[in-house]
Amino acid sequence: MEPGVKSLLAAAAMQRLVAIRLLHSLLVLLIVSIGSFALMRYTPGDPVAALIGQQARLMSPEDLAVIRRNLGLDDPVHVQYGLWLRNALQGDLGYSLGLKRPVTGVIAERIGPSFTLIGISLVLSIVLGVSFGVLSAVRRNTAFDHAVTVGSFIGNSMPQVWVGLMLVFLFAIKLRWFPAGGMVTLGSSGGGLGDRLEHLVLPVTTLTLTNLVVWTRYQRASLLEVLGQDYIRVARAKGLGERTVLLRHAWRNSLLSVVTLLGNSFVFLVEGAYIVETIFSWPGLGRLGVEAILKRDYPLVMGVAILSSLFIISGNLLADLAYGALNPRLRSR
Amino acid sequence: MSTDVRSRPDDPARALARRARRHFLLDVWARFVRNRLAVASLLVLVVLFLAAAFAPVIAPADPNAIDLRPEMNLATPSLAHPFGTDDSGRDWFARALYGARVSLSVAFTAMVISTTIGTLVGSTAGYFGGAVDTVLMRLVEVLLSLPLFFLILIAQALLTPSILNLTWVIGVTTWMNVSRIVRAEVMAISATDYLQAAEAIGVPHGRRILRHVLPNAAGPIIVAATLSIAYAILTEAALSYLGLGVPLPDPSWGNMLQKGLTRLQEAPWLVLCPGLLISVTVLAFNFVGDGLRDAFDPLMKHR
Repeated sequence: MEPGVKSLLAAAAMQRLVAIRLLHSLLVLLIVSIGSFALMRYTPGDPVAALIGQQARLMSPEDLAVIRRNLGLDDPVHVQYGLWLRNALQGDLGYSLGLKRPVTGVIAERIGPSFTLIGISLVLSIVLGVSFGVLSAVRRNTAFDHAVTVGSFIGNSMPQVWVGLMLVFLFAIKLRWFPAGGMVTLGSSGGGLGDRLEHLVLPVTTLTLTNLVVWTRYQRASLLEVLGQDYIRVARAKGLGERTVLLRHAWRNSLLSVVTLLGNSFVFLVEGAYIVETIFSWPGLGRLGVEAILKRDYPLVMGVAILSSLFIISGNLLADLAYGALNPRLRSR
Repeated sequence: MSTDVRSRPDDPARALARRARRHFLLDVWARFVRNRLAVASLLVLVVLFLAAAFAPVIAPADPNAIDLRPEMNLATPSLAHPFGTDDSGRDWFARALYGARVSLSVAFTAMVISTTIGTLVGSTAGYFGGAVDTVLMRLVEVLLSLPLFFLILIAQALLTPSILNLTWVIGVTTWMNVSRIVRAEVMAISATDYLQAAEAIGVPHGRRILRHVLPNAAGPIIVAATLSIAYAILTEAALSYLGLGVPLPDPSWGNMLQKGLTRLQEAPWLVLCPGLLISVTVLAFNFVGDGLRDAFDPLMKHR
């Protein structure tokens, strides 16, 4: 085939992949938005009373009816949903019942800390997990390999909560090396870069430990699979150095299946953030969401649900793009 | 009526098939037993189940008995109280035993629910293919991109807290992986000659699925079910820790963690013991699941 045609086909395949993913993301967002709307609309509690509070008791039923009508609460449900959606798209997700502030504002403050926590843990999990996986596959059936395999099984079996609490006990309470919670030390001594890093250590470790084992197992398995292929034997037979065979031929190809884990890993980290942020009083979206649920603050719950979905969707999109970039059959150039 | 092979129970072909099936299971067992880690894990699980079943006999005290004598306040682990006591003087070992009943039955029932739904969806998609397959598998993909754990939390907050609700919520939200595995398996089996033969002699859809497809897909389904128990135990722990799982006074391994956390400084064993139990149990289920996978599928001896 002509190279030009080939790259055109590749570009088309990649576009198709991204198009499917985008369509799919829209569907997810639609479901989340309908679910969120239903949560707002059909959970116990009168929205009029929630809006005007105590004064509602002083008003006549006729006045309340007028307010209801003005708020659009008498409209058909699909009209109400449309209105809600239009506001949501403009960034208006309503008011937090507990905090008495716009949901969007509250969430905006919390994105940064969550992003830091999840981002660092993701990078560490990938770098450490892939390294352990490669070393383990290369030294197959050695003591190191067995240790890594058993270790990854154990890491996969410990409740995240427990890992977090044990780290707190060991490194915060007993050894006093790191703070047990929060993002900065309160008062004049806190706020510096070192202080912030110290606060990151335990939550990042908890989130990374339970995530990196999945990368390790995946990388080990896929590299072993590739190493058993004929083209690896050919590469060795024609006298290429072991290093070249391993890195340029085997590892690069094994990455193709490893990178599909990126989407799962995003889901895992977002879910882990609810637990880890709660353990370490980390002021992120996860803890905000859990607190909102416990306080039945539904507008806030809904906002966090939408944001979490956006996080996961962008993770999946990123995974697709990475897959496309690594797969020569989908690469356009 | 002699033309209908299936109506004669002493038919040699049938007897052969029965023997082959028995041999297959014996083969699986023989391969499983060779995996020492898996067998040891199975033993651990048997001991745990017996301990949970005989909790009233083994437990040194009533799991809810409050003892306010000062020596019983946060007592360190000893022979009389192997896991110590909490700040109300409740015996932590007794609670762990009764907690095993709750945590294991939640996980087991949730597994049955999720495996049933997953098998139904997966076999429908894989067997019928085409548009049915596309719609169902897109649905699975969409569900997998939702923040499921958060949805479980919301569901738990909306429902009245109870063990039964918790079980349903976990079961109903965790069937997607099973359905994918079943689908792939069913698609492979549907393409085999013996299914073409079944279709040719006019065996109806339902019977083909139940008698011919699913029994041959049993291996991967059992493996997925075993691993989903492990996942359900971890989910119960996470939910109960956040106060949205098993409601007090019933003990569960998860709500023991939640209780222990408030006294982490003075009485770390309150967190250590249930956490170790969860880890060991989940690890055992993972090892058994892995052993079963290799035993069912010797050609895929891998990883």
